[in-house]
Amino acid sequence: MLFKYQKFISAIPNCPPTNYYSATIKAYRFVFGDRNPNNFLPASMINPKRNFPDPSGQCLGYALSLFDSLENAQNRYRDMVKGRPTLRKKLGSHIAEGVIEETDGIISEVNSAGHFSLHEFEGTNLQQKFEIVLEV
Amino acid sequence: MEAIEGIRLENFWLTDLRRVADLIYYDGPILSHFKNNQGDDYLYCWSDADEIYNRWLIFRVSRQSLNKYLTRQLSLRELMLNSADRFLHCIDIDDRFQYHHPCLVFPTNLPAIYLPEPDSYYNFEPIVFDFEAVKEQPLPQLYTQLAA
Repeated sequence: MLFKYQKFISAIPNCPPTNYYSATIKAYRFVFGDRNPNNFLPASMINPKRNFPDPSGQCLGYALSLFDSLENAQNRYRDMVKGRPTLRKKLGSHIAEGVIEETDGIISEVNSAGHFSLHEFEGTNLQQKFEIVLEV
Repeated sequence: MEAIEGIRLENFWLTDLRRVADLIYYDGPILSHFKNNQGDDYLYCWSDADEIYNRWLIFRVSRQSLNKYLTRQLSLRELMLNSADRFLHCIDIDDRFQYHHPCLVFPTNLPAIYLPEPDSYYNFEPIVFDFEAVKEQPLPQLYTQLAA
């Protein structure tokens, strides 16, 4: 199985990390409400890239951030925007909900803030699987 | 992006920083902890973007202040307004990671929209990249818990 951004991650050591795994999990993500084409693009596929050029950052730059519950997504959005009001224009204006299935890619462990990362498999189209559930 | 009232620099000074951890992360770093070769701690704080650049505010923090931030005793706003050097670096980074428009900014001259809110306390989990740095010089307990 190839990853969606295989040609970019092939040269990055340990990418995706070996502790990522397949799972079926309900997931939440910040999006713009107008079906913005960037809604489901990782940071390294959006110019200008918001990243740093070391290997760890390069690999994560091809993964999508998700949350494991609507509550965690709302709380983290609130906390991030408190830190930088300008982040609204990067994060989006809505929260979308969908189910990540084992055939969509591999995920990191969910951390204590409810965040996890997804490296998508080739052919995955989350735009079709997620629906907006809340304006933030 | 917002106009910055600062002291323009010929070059960006902080060329020996290495990333230790992303303290806040969503699709990429939003607040990152770096160290220099002398062990000083710096924060890279994403602040703005346009079609060409991401703008970062970079400032030195004392270890004590960093610990207090990570344990919710200090807010990000307090860290930023009381940076160890009394100024912040402002830098615009392009798509090829080239640094542009380096300048020094005093906290009181920051655009209001770049200032975190008063209750901007830490409520995340860091992604630690450089556990060697943790060993070299003890870092916040929060990091070492993750390394265990």
